[in-house]
Amino acid sequence: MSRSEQVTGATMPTEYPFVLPRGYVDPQGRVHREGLMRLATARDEIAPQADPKVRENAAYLTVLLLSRTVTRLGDVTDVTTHTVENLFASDLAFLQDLYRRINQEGRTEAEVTCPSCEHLFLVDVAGEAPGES
Amino acid sequence: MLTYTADRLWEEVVYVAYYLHWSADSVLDLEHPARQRVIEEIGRINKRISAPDDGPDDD
Repeated sequence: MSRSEQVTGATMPTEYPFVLPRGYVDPQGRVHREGLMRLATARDEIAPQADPKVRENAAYLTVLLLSRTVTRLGDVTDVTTHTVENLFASDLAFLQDLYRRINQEGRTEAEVTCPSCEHLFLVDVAGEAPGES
Repeated sequence: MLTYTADRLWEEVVYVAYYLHWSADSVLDLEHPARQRVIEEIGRINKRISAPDDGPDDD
C-alpha cells in the first residue's frame, strides 16, 4: 500500500448515492435509476484531456469524466462512455450538477428559498438515494 | 465540467510530491478534498517553520 492510499483509503473511494430523474434504459429495455458516483481525482480530470475525441469535441470530456466516476447505475456496474452517451439529456445534466457539487462544494445539498415565506432550507439534490433519509 | 484547470492540477500535484516525497502517480489518485487537505497542512507546517516564535497554529 502506498502512502497516499493510507491517507485517502484509495481502495475505498468516497461514493455518493443518487437517483436519476428519468433513468438509464439498457438494451433490454430495463430502467436503472439508482446509482453511485465516486469523488474525482486529479488523474480523472487530467487523463481525458489527452483523448483525441476530447481534442475534437470538448463536450466529450463530460462523457469521459462521468464514465470514470459513476461506478454503478442500477444493475450496471461497468459504466462506459457508451452508457453515458445513451443517457437522457436531463439525466446527463443531473450528473454534471452532482459531479460539480460533490467535488467543489463537498455536499449534495442545495440552499433553497421558499417563494411564499422566504424561509431558507436545504434540499438534497441527489434524490431519495438508498440509505438516505 | 472540469472543477480545476490542468495547469492548476499539475501545480498542486507537483507541490505535494515535492514536499512529501510521494510519487506523482500516488498524488494524482488522491480525491480532490484529500489533496486540498494535504496542501493546507503542508502550508501550515511551512508557516510554522518560517515563523517558529509565533507558536502553534491553531486555525
